[in-house]
Amino acid sequence: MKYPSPIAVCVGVVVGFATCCVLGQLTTRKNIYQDFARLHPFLEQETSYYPTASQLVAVAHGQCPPASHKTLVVLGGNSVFNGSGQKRDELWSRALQEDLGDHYHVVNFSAPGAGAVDNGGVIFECLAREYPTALFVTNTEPGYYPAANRSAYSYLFWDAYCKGLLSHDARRTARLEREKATSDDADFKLSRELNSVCYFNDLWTYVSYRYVSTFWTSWLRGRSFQPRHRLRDWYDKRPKVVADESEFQKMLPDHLEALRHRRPVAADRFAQNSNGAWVQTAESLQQDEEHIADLLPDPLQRRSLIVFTPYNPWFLAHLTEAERTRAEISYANGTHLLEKAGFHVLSTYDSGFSPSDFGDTVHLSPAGGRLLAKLVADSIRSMDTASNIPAGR
Amino acid sequence: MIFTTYWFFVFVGIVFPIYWLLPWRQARLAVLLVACVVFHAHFAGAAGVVPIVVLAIATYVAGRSGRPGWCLAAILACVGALGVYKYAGFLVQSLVGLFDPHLAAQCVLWIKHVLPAAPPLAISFFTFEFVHYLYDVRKGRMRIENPADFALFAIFFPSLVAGPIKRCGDFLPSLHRGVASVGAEDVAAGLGRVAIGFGKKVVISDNLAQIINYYGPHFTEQPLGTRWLLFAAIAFRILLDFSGYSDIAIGLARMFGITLSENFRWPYLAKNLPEFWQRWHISLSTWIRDYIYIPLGGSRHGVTRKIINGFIVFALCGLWHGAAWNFILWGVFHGAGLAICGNYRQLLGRFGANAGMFFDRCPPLSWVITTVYVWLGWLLFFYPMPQAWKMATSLFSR
Repeated sequence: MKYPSPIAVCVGVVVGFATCCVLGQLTTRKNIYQDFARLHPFLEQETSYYPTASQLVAVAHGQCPPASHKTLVVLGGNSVFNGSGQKRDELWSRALQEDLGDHYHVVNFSAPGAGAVDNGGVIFECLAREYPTALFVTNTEPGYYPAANRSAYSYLFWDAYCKGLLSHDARRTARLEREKATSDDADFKLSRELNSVCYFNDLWTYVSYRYVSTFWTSWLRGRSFQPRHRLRDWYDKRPKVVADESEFQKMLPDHLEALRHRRPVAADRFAQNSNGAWVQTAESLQQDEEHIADLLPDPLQRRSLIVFTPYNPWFLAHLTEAERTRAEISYANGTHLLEKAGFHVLSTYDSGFSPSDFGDTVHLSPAGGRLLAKLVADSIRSMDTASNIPAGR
Repeated sequence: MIFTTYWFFVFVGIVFPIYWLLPWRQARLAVLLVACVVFHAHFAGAAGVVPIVVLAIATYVAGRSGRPGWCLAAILACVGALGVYKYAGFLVQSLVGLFDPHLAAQCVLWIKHVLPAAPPLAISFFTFEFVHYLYDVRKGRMRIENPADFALFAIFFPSLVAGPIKRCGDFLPSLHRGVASVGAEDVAAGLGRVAIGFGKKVVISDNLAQIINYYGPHFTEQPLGTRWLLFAAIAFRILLDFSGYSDIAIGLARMFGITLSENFRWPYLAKNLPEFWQRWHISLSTWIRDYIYIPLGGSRHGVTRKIINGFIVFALCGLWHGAAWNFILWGVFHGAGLAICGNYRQLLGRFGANAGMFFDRCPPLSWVITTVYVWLGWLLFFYPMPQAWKMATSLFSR
């Protein structure tokens, strides 16, 4: 066999590689996700699928172009905001869109297990300059404020960070430098740096969505290699959420135990004073304050609404008096600390949710989703959307 | 897996064009040497590099001296280092534990305290290559004079992590040919081989691993057909993982103009166990043949001695794969298979001769028996004995 000259081989390899890089970059130019409603399990990392920051930014661009002059509402948060258990048509964020009307456009980037500013928070920050009136709405529990680079979805933060999509924040830059010394994920960060130049993840994600996926996953089994666009929203085929006491009774042992270990309730963040009353320890308050300061760069807090995850009152009633007291203190302290940092807060503890609004301890039934949508819509309308958005990096 | 790290891609992306585009032989040699040092230092760290450097120096000096006594001492040092770093905890646990489990537990704790958490990177491969070199020097077959040649033989990065185990008599001429005349055909062939290796490893083997991890814990609860499919998945996963890794190593070396020996030749097509070992991890099986089996006497001292030698060799082969009883058991399982396969014709008299003739005339049956035997071995290799037994018996029951 006659081989080409070394230079021709070199040029061929370089041109082929560069073509892939350009193709990868082109996939970020427009929204590739048809009729995007949320990051359901077939479109996120639970099934080894990692949409990139550029591609999620393109979703917002595609659904709500900056020229439309609508107020973009970016949703973040965990499975509660992701509408776990709600079918696509029952999704609470659809109810929120209907409630807010045509002057707003809601896009839901929440994901199961995400912290307050994972996914949605990162994409909101990427979009903040282009959409000066955009708002960010997310949910979390009091006491749980992980920075976007320290969470389960840190890949998205690093993707946005390395691509220069995030705003400049001196405090964050200094913190990342400090953390660099103790982190052991150098190869992961190198992959993000390389991707910011070569866009190989963007290309793979696009190919997996449009043509063929290359990972077997237990969620999909026989359908693992199908292009993801053929797979409908995972929750559409799940059984309907039945919210009744007999179901709760079956869940009680496990869910009550889990509830007792949730941050607002767990005793390790509290102490009893000389009168025997529970108080949150100064140390945990200080830690919460520091973590809150790392959530979003100033002044994006003023455009952000943090909703404290509502708990099913049926399960709350099974807590001890001391546990309920700790939860109330957590919600009150969390609200105070977040408001002090400039965030808007919607505390849903004891705010009108009934057991029939839930499918389990925290996840909402379609009815609960509609109530959440109404509460959030009211809060959004009352938010002050002052400008002062930082310039991009 | 080192070859699938981003650091490695960047590393090769920088080193390879420099090496290839440099027109001077000595400069290429220098680039390759520096690259090997950087690669080893990056992945092994100081704790992994220092013992290997010490052993390499000892091996080089002993080899250069050509004195059999020095070579023997260096061989013992290499084998001793492998024993201490890789097997000390296991041996103490197994031997001392027979008499005093409490004392054994304390000794293991102390060993864990004294030794690094993981043995130096690729110490098994280093040991085998150094022992081969020293043994051949002792026999007067070769001697490396140039320290750069020896260093490149020792830490040639493509084969450093998972072989193939090199022989310096083959490697050094190929190295010098490569640095003198690497061509486009080498690069094209190498790139193709690397692509095949990544395909085997990343696209097929890693997906099989996901499937096995998911269904494996419930193996015996699956329908019979699914159990056999999983059984095949386990066998193909190890083949494609390991041979994929070898393909990447051989392809990378070829991109640098250097030919490494083949490590796999369609092993699951073997029609008997000796043939399987001529096709599976060839660089290891030939090493074991040349440096353990033949020095032990091989097949030269009668059937009994041949069988005993086979068991010793394959128990050691199993132990080489990891410090645990299941690996030894896997080795003994193959030793037993080879003993039966190699001797049944003589030992079973007329019946054995007829059976042998029948198998010779019916290759598909020989192939089925060999394949099932080898694949059953993988159950011992991957799972604790009781679980492996349960899985194996479930394959033959409804």
